[in-house]
Parts: sequence; structure tokens; C-alpha cells
Amino acid sequence: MSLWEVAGKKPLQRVPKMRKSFGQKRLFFCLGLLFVLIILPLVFSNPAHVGIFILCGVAGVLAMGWLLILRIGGLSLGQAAFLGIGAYTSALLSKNLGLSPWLGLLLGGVAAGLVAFGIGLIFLRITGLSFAIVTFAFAEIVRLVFSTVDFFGGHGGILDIPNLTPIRLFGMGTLRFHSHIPNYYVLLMIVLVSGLFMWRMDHSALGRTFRSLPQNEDLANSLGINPLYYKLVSFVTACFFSGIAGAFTANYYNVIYPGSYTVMQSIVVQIQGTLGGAASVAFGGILGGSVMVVIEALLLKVDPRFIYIFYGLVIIIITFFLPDGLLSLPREMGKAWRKLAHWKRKSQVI
Amino acid sequence: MAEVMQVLLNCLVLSANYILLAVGLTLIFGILRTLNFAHGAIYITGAFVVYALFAIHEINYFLSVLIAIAVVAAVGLILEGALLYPLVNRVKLASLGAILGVSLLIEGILSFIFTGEDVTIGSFFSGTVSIFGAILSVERIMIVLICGVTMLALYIWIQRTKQGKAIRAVAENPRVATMQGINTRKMRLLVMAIACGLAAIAGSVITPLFYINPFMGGYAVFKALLIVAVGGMGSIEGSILAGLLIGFVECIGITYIGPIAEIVSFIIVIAVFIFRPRGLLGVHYEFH
Repeated sequence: MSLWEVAGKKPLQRVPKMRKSFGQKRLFFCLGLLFVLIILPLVFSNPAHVGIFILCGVAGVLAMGWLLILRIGGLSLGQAAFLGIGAYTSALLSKNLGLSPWLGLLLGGVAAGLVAFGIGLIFLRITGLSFAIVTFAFAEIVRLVFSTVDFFGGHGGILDIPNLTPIRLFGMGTLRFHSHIPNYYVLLMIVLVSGLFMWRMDHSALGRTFRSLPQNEDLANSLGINPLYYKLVSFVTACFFSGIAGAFTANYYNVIYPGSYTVMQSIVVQIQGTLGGAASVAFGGILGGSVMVVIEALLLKVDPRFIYIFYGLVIIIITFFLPDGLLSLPREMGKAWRKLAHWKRKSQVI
Repeated sequence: MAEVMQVLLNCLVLSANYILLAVGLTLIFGILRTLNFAHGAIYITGAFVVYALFAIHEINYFLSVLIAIAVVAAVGLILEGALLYPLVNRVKLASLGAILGVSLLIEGILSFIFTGEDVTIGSFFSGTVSIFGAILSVERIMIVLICGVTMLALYIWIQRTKQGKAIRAVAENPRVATMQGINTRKMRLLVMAIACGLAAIAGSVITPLFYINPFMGGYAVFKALLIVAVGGMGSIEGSILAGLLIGFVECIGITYIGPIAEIVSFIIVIAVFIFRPRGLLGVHYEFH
């Protein structure tokens, strides 16, 4: 199933069925992945590397959200705005009111979710490309408000945001969040919770309802599905988790400024989601986000100007040669391999 | 009064720039049925070609503008031939992704060639005239005139010539137009070249006024996209009207209120989408 078929109105050739049992192979794969993710910062303990892993996680949460919105047929160009809303909410609450950053983490998500609910009531009635344009306009409004209103700190942003407060472990001292590695585990929790949530959402009756909306909304409506309700569920969930990721970045970097929530950031989220592929919301998002961030970090060492060329080439190549994203790479390679083997056999006969 | 005149002239310069971009976008949407996200990158390519020829190689300004139009039209033809036409039978969103990629690619290449810093060619036409006591720069008046004449020529070409009629026919219904013996493929190429030429004019007239850098195209194309959406997809008159509306609102707001007034243009767009989804003067297009 191609990414573009999910978003477009082309009928699906094969409707994915809900898996009854998880399957042992998949269970082992997931446990292995979890193990790798847990020991990752212990193996690569260089703070610069852990910083990159943290960026991967934030990008992954955003890309997952983007893919979940794509499920209902919306091409969102405003995901960076929700990252910003989460970050600013958490920063202002913990700095001005002295609220615990842990609570700010949750409230950042809630604020982004509430805003998403409010604008979703209006925007989700708009379909197709127009949805992309209005979300972009909304994101620009948010960025302009952040960068011009004095309450939000103006162009300079907000400085000196407190770190996450230390946790007292029973009888084992306290866990402080000044270094990278504890922060990595907090983010890992966020990624796991949001990934599990969205995975479960995608692989259930709810997910199949989402998929039905871009194909034929009127037909779905006639079968008793309220399109606006399901669209809101998807949109608010995606934006809620983006907001939590944003709140985490505010407490992790201790400084936020409106320049990091531009259109370009939203476009990067789109590229990451496209690269990962819509075959699976959770895995596609995290895969696309991680691959892009790692390659970006490598390119940044060589010459930052390569990054734009890289973005352009990635999205063109994906569109032409791998429209289902990286997740379909094994399948496509298998197909190519079979074709090659077939061709070899034929040539031997002759 | 004098100040009002100057503000109005600035508004006209801004609107003229927006209109040239938006009309190109709307022409491409009408014939190719896709949104050319690379229009901003193409526009900035025009500006940089003029910069390279005029400021570095010291060629006459008007000659370098003509060369820029030719170069940029060639870029547009390559884009159409290599990217948009092969994707014509795929879902529209696929070609959108590819065009977005081209836009980023062009910006990256430009920043590689021109070091990615802000450059300008400086004012080359530094006279002023005084009208009703207001002192206006000749350069800005020239820009408005150039854009006005270009738009008039385009309008006459579309409405009064046989080729323009063919283009309107293709915009209406490509299949029926093909049955009448119109070469749709040729029309696509022609429209792409003309729209990119308009973007090149827009890019080259701003080089004497503003600093340019390779990344300002992305923002400009989104502004033009909003204008096309407000005016109605595929409607040239609508784009002109919306360009004037958004240009004036934005310029007057920024002059008298401050940078936050830019919000108003975005609010106009959202309001138009909610209350009149086909745009001010648009015909309804299904986009998918």
C-alpha cells in the first residue's frame, strides 16, 4: 500500500487485516529493538552522539504524528507549530509559575491537543491540498505570535528554562537531569508511549476507520461513521504527542526561540514521514526521523550547505523509486532479486 | 499626504511582486493541475542570474534580465519534461513531493554557488520625482510599470490571441482540447516557460531594492500560494485581485502597526477557506 494511495482517493488494492496474534517473530524483533534502544547511550556514550539520538526521538514523534494525520487524508504542513506550542507552554509554566517541569511535560501536550481540537473543528472540514495550506497559515500565525508578542519573549525566545527536576530513587540516591543520558531515557519513554499508542490506534478498528475516510468520505458517512469525529481523534492525538515532545525539548535545551518552528521545520517533518513510509505509522515515523537526523548530523560535519541538496535528492528519489518509503525496501529488494533470478534462469535455458 | 503616497507606492511594489509570482502559479495550476512549489526557488534563481551577470560580469542590466528570463524558462522546461510529465498519471500528491524536493535542491545548489550570504546589486537608477509634494523613487515606479505592462501583455495574450484561446481550452478540459487538435503537451511546456519567465521578472526587479539570499524563495512561494488560494485556483483575475488585497493589507499593517500585522494576511486566507472555499473569483477545482 503506497503512501500516496493512502492520502489520495485511489482505491486500495489490499486492505490490511487486523492481526489477531502478535506473532513470535515480531515479538522478538520488538524486544530486540527495545534492548538496542536501551543500551544505545551506554555504548555510544559520547554526549554529542546521545544528543543526536535525542534529536532522532523528537523527529520520530513528530513524523509519527504527521503519518497519523496522513491516515485521515490530511497533508499537514504545520506540525512544527504544535512542537512550539508544547515547548512554550511548558517553558512559561515552569518559569513564571514555578510549576514542576514534569507537570509541564504533560501540560505542554494538553495545550497542543486543546489548540488542535479548537482549530481541528474548523480545519478538518477542509480537504485535500487546502488543508495543507490552512495548516501552513496557522503555523505561520503561531510563529509570528511567538516572535512578536513580548509575553512570549519576542525574537530572542525564552532563556534559562529549568531542567527536569531530580527524582529521588528509594535508597539509591537521586537521579539528576543535567546530563544527556538521563534525558535520553525520558525521551525514550515518550517515544515508546506515543509509538505504542499510535501503533495500537493504527492496528485496530479505529485505524481501519481512519483509512476509509480518504477513500470515500461520503460512503463512510452513510455507514454511520462521523468523519469529523474520527478526524479529530487522529489530529488531536498526533498534536498531543508533538506537544509533549516540544515540552521535552524546552526542558532539555533550556532555551527556545521562535526560529526553530518555521515552515522549513514542518517540511522536514513531511520529508521524514515520507521517507519512513505510511505502511506503519509508528515504525515509519521513527525510522524516517532517525535516518534523516543521523545523515543530517553527518552532513553537518562536512558542509551544512549539503543539507538542502540532500533533502531535495531524498524526496525526489523516494517519490520516483520507492513511493512506499523505507519500510518497503526489503519487499522491493526481494522483488528485484526474484526478477534477477528469473532473468538468469531464462538466460541459462537459452 | 506625502507619506501616504510613499506607503502606497511601497504597497504597489510588494503587490506587483506577489502578483507576478501568483499569476505564474495559477497558470501552472490551470494547465498542469499541480502546485509548483519550486516557483520560489525559480524566482530566486532569476534574481541570482541577474546578480551574477550584472554585479560580477558587469553586463547591462536589461540584457541580464533578458538572459535571466531565458535561463529560468529553460529551468522550467527541464522541470516539466523531467519531473512533472512523467508523474502525470500518478496521484497528485506524489508530484507535489517531487516538486518540493526540486525546490530544496535548487536552493541548496544556489547556496553552494553563491556562498549562501545576503547579496544585492545596489540601486542602479537612483533618481526621484516629486508628485503632489511626495518624493518617490523612480526605481520603484519603474518596477510597478514593468509589472503592469507584463500583466497587460499576458492578459491580452490569453484573451485575444489564438494561442491564448487554446490555453484557456486546455485549462477547461484537457481531453476535449486534445480532441480539437490542440497539442496539450506543447501547451504544458509553453505555460511552464511563461510562468517561469514571470517569476524571473519578479526576481530580477527586486535585486536592486532588497538583499537576496538563496532561501528567501521558499517563503515567497508560500505567500504566493496563499494569494492563489484567496483569489481562486486557476483564475488570473482572482490572483491579481488577491495579490493587491494581501499586498496592501500587509504593507499598510506593517507600516502602521508593526511586524505582527503579517498575521492579518494569514487570517484572510483561513477566512476565505472557511467561508468561500473556491476563492474570491475562482471556479471550483477538485484537487486530487
